[in-house]
Amino acid sequence: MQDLWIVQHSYLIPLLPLIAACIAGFFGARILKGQSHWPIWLGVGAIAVLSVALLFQTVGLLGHGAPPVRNSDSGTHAPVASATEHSDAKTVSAVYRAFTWIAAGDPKNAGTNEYFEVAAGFFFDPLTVTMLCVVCGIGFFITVFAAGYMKGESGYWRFFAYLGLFIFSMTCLVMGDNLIMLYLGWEGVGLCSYLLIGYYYEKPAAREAAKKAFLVNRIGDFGFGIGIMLAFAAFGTVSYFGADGYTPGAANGLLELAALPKMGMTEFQIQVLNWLPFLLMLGAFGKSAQFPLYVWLPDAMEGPTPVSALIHAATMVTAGVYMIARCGTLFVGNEAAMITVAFVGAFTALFAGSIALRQFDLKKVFAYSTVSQLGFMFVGVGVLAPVTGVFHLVTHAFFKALLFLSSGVVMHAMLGHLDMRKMSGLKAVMPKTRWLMLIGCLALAGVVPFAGFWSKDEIVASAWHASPLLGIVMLVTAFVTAYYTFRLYFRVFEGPKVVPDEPHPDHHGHGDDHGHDHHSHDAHHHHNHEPALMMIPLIVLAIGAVIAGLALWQGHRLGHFLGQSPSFVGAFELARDTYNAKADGAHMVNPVVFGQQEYRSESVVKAEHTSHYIFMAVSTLIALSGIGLAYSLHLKDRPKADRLALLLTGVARAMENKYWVDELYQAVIVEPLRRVGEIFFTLDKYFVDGLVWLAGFVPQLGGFVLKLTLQRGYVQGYALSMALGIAIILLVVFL
Amino acid sequence: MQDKYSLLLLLLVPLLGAAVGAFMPSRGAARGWALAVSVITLMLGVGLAWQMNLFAGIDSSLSSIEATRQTVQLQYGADAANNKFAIDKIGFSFHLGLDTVSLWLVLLTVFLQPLVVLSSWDVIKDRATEYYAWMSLLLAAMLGVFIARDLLLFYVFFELTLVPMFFIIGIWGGPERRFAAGKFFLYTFTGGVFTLAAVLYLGTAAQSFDVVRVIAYAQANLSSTERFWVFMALLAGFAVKVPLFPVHTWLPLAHTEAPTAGSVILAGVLLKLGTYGLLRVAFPIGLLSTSEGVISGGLIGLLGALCVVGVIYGALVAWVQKDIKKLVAYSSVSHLGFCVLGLVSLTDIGLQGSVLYMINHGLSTGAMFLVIGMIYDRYHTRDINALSGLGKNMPIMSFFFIFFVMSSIGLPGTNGFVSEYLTIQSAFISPYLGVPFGVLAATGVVLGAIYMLHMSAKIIFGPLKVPAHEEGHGATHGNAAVGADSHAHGHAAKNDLNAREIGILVPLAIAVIWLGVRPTPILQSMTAPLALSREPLSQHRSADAATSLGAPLPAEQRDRKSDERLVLNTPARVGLPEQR
Repeated sequence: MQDLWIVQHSYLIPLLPLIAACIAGFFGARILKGQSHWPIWLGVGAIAVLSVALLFQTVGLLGHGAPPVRNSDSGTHAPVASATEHSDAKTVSAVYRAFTWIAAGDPKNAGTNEYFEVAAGFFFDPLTVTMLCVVCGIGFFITVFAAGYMKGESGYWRFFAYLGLFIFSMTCLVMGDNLIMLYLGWEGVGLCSYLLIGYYYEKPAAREAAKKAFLVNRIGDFGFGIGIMLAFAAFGTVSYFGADGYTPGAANGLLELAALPKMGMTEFQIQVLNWLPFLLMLGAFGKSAQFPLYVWLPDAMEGPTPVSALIHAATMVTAGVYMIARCGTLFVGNEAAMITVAFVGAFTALFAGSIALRQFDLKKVFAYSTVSQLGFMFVGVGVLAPVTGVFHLVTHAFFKALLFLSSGVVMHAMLGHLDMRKMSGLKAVMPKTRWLMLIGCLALAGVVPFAGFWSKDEIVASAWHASPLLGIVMLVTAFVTAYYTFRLYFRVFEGPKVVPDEPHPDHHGHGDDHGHDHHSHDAHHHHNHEPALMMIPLIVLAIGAVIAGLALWQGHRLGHFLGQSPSFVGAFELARDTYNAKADGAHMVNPVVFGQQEYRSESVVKAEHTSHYIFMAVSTLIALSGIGLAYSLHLKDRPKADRLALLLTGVARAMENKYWVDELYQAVIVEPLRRVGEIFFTLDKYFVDGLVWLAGFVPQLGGFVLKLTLQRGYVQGYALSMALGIAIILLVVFL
Repeated sequence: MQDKYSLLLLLLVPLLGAAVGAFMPSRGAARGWALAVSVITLMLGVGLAWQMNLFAGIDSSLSSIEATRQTVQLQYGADAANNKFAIDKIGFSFHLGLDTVSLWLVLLTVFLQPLVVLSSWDVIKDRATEYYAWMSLLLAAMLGVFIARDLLLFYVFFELTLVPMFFIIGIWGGPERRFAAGKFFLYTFTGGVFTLAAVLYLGTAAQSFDVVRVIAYAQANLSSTERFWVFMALLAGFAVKVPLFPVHTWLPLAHTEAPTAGSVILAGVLLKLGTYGLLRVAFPIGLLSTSEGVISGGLIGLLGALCVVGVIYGALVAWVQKDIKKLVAYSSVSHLGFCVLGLVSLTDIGLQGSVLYMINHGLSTGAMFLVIGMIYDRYHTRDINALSGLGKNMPIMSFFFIFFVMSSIGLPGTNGFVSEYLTIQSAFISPYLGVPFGVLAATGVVLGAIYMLHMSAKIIFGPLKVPAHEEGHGATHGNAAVGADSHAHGHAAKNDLNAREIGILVPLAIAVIWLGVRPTPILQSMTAPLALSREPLSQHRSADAATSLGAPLPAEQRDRKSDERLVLNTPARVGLPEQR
C-alpha cells in the first residue's frame, strides 16, 4: 500500500485539522465568530473522506498484498523517506516519514541505546485505517452535530479550535509509526480533553474535573513513559517496525525485536520484557479509564456533550485498546500481563456497570457505561482475542456516540436538566430522539441484530474460552448493562409525560453576553427540539449502530481485514509459540480472533461454531431478561423500584457514591502527598536554609571580630573575610 | 576561522552600551538605548551563528547536519604569545572562543535580552537609567561566561553577573528586596569563592589558565585526592548557582523579590551558568582521567541522587506555595534537577538533552515569569488565592499562560518534552545511574503536572475574582492599553495584554514550538564538543579536543595529528578548523 496517493500524502491527515484549529483559534474570536465551525467542518470532513477512501483502497489490496511497485522517484518532495515495498501475501502495510523529529546521541551508534532517533512518521496497516475511519468519520459527524448543539455559546470558536486540535492529536496517535508519536498523540488528546472538559472554565466543577482528568492520565502516562524508556534502553529503538516499515522476517523495530526468541536476549532485555507490558498497561488504563484509574471519566461529563461523545466515548478513551492491539507482541508473550489485562477489564466492566445502576444523571449513566464497555474491550484484547476488542471498539463508537448525542438533544430541550427523576415520557416531546435513543439502547444492551450484540458476544465467547470465570463475569455484566440501559430508557422516554420547566442553573445554552441571541435561541427551544443539523448526524450514527455489527461480523470481515496488520500477525505468531508449546490442548490460541483464519483447523472450526451459537442464544436471553427487569421496575411499577432501593439502602448508597473511591484517593494519596509538600516546605525554610546560615555563621564570626578591629560595614566585613580567605588560599597554593 | 573580532564585539557592544547607557538623560532614552543595545547584540549573535554555518542544518536532513558538525568555531586571542591582554607570568590570556554548545546558550541570552528590556518598558519608573545600564552590563557578563576560554576570565565573568543582579533585585525588587539581594549575593558569592580557589590551584599547577590546557593537565596529572577536592570546590560554586538541592534556598527568595526582568534573566540564563560550569569545567576536570576514563562512579551516583531528590522535593514544595512566583521558582529547582541528571549521566543523549534543557528551561520558565509579571502589573498580587478565573477577563493572557504551562510540563510537541524525555532517558541508559534514577526522576513528570495545573486551575479557571481595590486600577490600565478592542467587543472592563506584551510572548511561543518540533539540528550540532565532557582528553584526541575547545595547535603538529587520527580511529566527526 506504499504507493497509494493517500499514504504518500498522509501528512495531510494530521495537518488539515491542525490548520483548521489554528484558523478557528486565531480568527474565531474576531472574524469568524458564529461561523467558526467551517474550518473544522472542512478540515475534518476532508480527512474523513481521505480515511474512508484509504479504507476502500486497503480493502482492495486485501489478500494479494501491495502491488510490487516501487515509487522511488517521488522523492522530489524531500519528506518521502521510505519507499520500500513489502509485498507478501499476508500483510498490508506502509510507512511514511515526514522528517526526523528527535535525534540525540552520535549517529555512529545507530541501532544501540546510545543513539536515540525518532521520526515524525506514520505507519499504515488495516488497524491504523480502521482507527482512522472511526476517528475521522465519527469525528466528522460529531463536529456537525456540535455546530447545532453549541450554537450561541460564548466560546464557540474556542470549542471548535479545541476539536480541531483533538482530531490532529488523535490522528497522530493512531498513525504514528513509533511509541513516541503514540505518546505525542496520547498527551495531545489529554490536553484537548483537559481543555474541553474545562470548557466552562468558570464552573468550579468543570475546573476540578479537567484537572483531575489530566492528572490521572499523567499517572498512567508515567508508566507509559517509563515503559518507552525501558524499551529503548533494552532494544535501542522505539519504532514499531523500523525505519523502512514492516519487512517479513526482518527484525528492525521494537515490536519485532521483542518477539524474537528469548534465548538470544540479554538478561536486561528479558527483565524489561517482563515489566514492559505492565508499564504500558498503566498508560492504557489511565487513558481508557480502567480500574483504578477510571475516576476521571465520569467527572469528565462536565464538558459539553459532543465532547463526551467524541472524546470520552468514541475515540480518545479507546486509545488504550488500540495501544495493546498495536503493541501485541509486547504483551502476548507475557502471560501474567495478559491475565492482568483481562481481569482488570472484567472487574472494571462489572464494577462500573454496577455504579451505573444507581446514577440518575443521563450522562453519568453513559459515562459509567463507557467505562464498563471499555472493560469489555480490554477483556477482548486480554484473552488473546484482539480482533474482538477492536470490533467492539468500532461498534461501541457508533452506538455510544449516538447515545451521548441523543442525551445531548434531551439536555438541550430540557434546558440543561439531565436528571432522570425529573423527566419522563419524553417520547411525546421528542419523537425522533426517542427512536434514535432506542436504537442506541438496544445496541448497548446487546440485542440481536444491533451492532453491540455481535461484538460483545464475540468478547464473551472468547472470555469463556479463556476462563469460564471471566465468561460468567462478562455475562453478568451483560445483564447489568441491559438493565441500566433500559432503566434509563423507560424512565426518560416512556411513561407519563413530565418535563422540567425551569432552566438548570448550570445550563449553558446561551452566551451571557448575547442578549439578542438568547431570545431567539430560547424560542427555538420551545418550537423545535430536534433541528436537522443535530438530527442528521444522529441518523447516520444510528444506521451504524444498527448495521455495523452484522456487516463486520459476517464472514469475519473485520477479522480478515485486521489480520493483515503486521501487529496482529506478529502477536499471533508469538502467542502461538508461547501458549501452544504448553500443549495441554485446552487453551490453544484461537487464530480466528487474531484474524488468522487460515490457521484454524477443522475441528476447531466446528467446536467454535457450536459454542458460538450457544453463546449467542444465552447472551440474547440475558439481554432480554435485563430489559424485562428494567421494564417491570421502571415502567410498569416504578414505586416498586423505589421500594427495592429502600430495601437495599446500603448497597444503593454505596453505588450512588461510587463506592467512595474518589474520597479514598483524596484521603490516601492526594492529602498525604500535599502534607509531605508542606513538611518539605517547612524544612526548606528552617532546616535546609538554617544549615546554610549556620555555615555562614563561621565567616560571620570572623567578620564580627574583624568588624571590631578593622571595618564598620557589614557587607564589607564579608567582602574582607572573603578577600582574606582568597589570600590565604593563594598563599597555600604558591608556597 | 578568519574573523577574530566578532566575538570581541559580542562583549564590547553590551559593555559599551552599559557605559553609555548610564549617562542617558531620560527614562525614554535609557530604555530605547538598552533596547537598541540588546537588539544589536541579538543581531551579532545571529551573525555568529551564521558564520558558524549553523543554520545550514536546520532545514535539511541529518546528513547535512553532519557537515555542520565539523567543529565550526570562532576564537579570539587564542594565540597567547600575540595576545595583548595576556599576563604571561601567571598564564592568563584574554581568550575567547565559541563552539556550538556556547553558541546556543549565547543565542538564548541574546534572544531573551530584548524581551526582558521590553517587559520592563512601562514597569520600571524610578532610576530607570541606572536600571537599563545594569541590564546591559549583566548581558555582557553573561555572554562573557559563555565565550570565555580562559578559566580566570571565566571566573571573572561568572562573578561579575552577581553585581548587576544584586542591584536589580535590591533596588527594583519587591518588598523584601534588600534582604533577598543580600542573601542572593552572599550565598552565590560564597560558593564562588571555593570555585576561585580551585581555579587558582589548577591554573598555578598547570602553568596556564587556558581551559584546554588545564583540562589536559588535570586529567593527566592530578591524583585522585586532588581531583576530589578540586571537584568539590568547583561544585561549591556551580551547584549553588544551578541550584542543586540542598543549596537552593537562595533561589525562591531571589526569584520572588526580583522584578520581572530580573526573574526572567535569573531563571533563564543565570542558572545556566552553573550547569554550564559543571559541563565545561567541573566534569572534565573532576570526573575524567586519562588513565582511568571516568572515575568515581560513586560521586556521580551521589550527584544523580541529589538531582532526583531535587526533582521531587522541588515539585512538592512548589505545589504548596501560595505565591505564584515562588511556585515557579521552586519549579526551577525541580527542572534543574532534570537538567543536571542529564549531565551526570555522561552519555551523548543525556548531555545533548541537558543542554537543550538549559535552553528550553530558559524559554519556558522565562516566559512563565513574564506572564506572571504581566498579571502582577495589573493586580499587584501574586497570591494564588487572591486571583481566580482570569480566563474571563484576560483571554489572550490565559492562552499564553496555558501554553507555557504545557511547555513547562513537557507536553509533546513543545520544547519541554524533548529535553525532559532525553534527560530521563539518559538516566536509564547511563552506566553510572540506571533504572531507579530514571523511574524516580520520571515521577517529576507527574508532580510537575500537579503543581502547574494546580496553579492554572486556581488562576485561570474558576469564577472571576481579582483583588477588589485593584479592579478599578486594572480596568483603567487595560482600557488605556486595549481600549479599542474592549469597545469592539462590548465587554465592560477587559484587561487583557496589550500589543507590546503580546509582542514579547509571541517570539517565545514560536521558539517553544520550533524547538519542540525540530530539536534535531540543535542536538546534533553539539555532538562533537560535548564528547569532551564525557570522555577524557587523551593524548590521541588532543587534536580534536583542542579544536573543539579553542587552542589551535601549531600547523605541523596539526597535520601530524590529523594523520594519526585516522589511524587511531578516534572520532572522525570532529574536523579541524579552517586554515588561517
